[in-house]
Amino acid sequence: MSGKLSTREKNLSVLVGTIALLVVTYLIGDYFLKSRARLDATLVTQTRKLAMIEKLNAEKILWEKRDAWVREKQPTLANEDGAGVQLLDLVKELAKKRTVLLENPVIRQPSRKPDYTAVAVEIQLKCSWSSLVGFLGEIQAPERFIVLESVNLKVDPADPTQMFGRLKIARWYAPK
Amino acid sequence: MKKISTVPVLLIPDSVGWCLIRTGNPPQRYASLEAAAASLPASVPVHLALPCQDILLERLSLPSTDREELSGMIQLQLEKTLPFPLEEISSGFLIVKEHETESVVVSAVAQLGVIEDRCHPLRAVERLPEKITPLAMHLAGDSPSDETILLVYPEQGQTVVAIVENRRIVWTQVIPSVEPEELRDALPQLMLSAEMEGVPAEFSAVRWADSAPLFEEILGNFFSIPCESFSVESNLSSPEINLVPPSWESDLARGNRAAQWKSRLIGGAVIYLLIVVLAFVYLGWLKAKAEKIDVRYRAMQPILQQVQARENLWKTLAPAVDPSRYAVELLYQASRNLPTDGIRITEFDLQATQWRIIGEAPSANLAIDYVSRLKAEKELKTFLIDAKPPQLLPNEHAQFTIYGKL
Repeated sequence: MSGKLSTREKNLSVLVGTIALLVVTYLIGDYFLKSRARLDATLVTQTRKLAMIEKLNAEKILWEKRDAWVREKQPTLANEDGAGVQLLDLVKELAKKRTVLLENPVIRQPSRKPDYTAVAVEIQLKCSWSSLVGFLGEIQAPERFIVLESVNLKVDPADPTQMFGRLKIARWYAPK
Repeated sequence: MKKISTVPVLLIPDSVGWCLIRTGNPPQRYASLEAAAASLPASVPVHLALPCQDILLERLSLPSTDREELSGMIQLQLEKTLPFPLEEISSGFLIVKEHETESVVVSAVAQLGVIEDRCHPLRAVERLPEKITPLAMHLAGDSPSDETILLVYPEQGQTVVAIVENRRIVWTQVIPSVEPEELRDALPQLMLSAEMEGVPAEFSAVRWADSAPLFEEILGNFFSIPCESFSVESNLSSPEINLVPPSWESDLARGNRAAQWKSRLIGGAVIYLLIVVLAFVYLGWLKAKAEKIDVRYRAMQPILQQVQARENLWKTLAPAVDPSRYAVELLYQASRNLPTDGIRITEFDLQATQWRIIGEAPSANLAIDYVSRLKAEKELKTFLIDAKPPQLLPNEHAQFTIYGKL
């Protein structure tokens, strides 16, 4: 192949070359921008996840301590039949101590969850506001693992100094 | 990026064909100018030395020392002596000697047709020479000044006999053979002819081209003075003459512009490719960074799962072990944030993940204020607190209901 190109042929070559260059530049630029956006997004996500992991890792000792504390302190359910009675006795004892009148106590069947086994009692109560606060404050403490699973308190419409309440009190034992 | 050379290459006729002289490289020989043109290095200016047969040299003594005047005189002289019009030639001259009122010059003339024919192979590859000179003038520049020297060298199957005066070629003759015998037979006639033309024929030295060693004996015998050899390709000077036709200037300018554009385009292409490469390197760097983080993330994954399991267990047991989730604590926060004693909590409801407070306030504003206080309470920040709009009661009090959800 030889021979000089005419001006028209040269112009056409320049035009085709320019278009080809623009197309290639567009394709490369598009690929670059999309890849960069994707990688930037990945980086942001990864960095966030890593920061979260590092934060958790920094708190690792705290969670280890808490886990150890739970394993040490959470009571184990040795006697399923007696656990409900034992809890009800405790509730009665504290109610008596705080001058809280208990009514209709019911012991529920133990409920098994992956992280605990709940032994619950349901009670109705009537007392003054201060007695109620004292009773509630004393019945729950970290090492007791007692949870008020359901609480419904109402002021007595006839005597606003008195409170009615229905409580479901449970002790969460370590799972078997 | 390779720098484009501006040192020109020189194409000279050698004993049989053509030779390409390039600074820093050994001479390259070619059988024809076409072959030499095809091998020219890109983007390098080309100079062409013409063989003697293409050039008409004339030694003239002119009554002036002014270069412009000399130029005019030479033009007149050429007009008178040449058998073709001045429009069909390209010419130049060199000053050989200057006296007080006169100068000895040598004019070089080449027919445009001859130049065109000779340069056709170069034009075909768009490498027109920037400078055209007679080869003999290149060879003369290596001679001592103020001396007259005879040069004999073979050139494309012919023998050139040239006289150098004060480092300028002033006379040349071509013998159409390279046989030593032909030279021996032609020398007396040539020397006589030179003398008759007024060219000095008493030589201080005689030089023969080392490519034709058989000339030495003949020249030594004829002139009875020491003869020395010289290399045609070595020590080529650059004479101050240029026989490029004026009409070629636009072609050359166009060629130069094309070369400049080519050079710019190459530069642009290199920068473009560099940018593309850098862009991909940047992408690679980003990818490597993301992978590095991913590797760290995966390495820490077991720790994460263990810590998360412990955290989840703690959160599950929070109603039992976290005092801030105790009913008495919630009631304490609910009472503590009461804006005034006039507000009464009438009902408190607590389930596993939410609580509800119902109460009465003397006005709706107080009820709203109470909700705001609970929302702002740091101890209740684990709960999402919301409230219905207060409802007005017949006693003009406002009843409010507030929810807290985990």
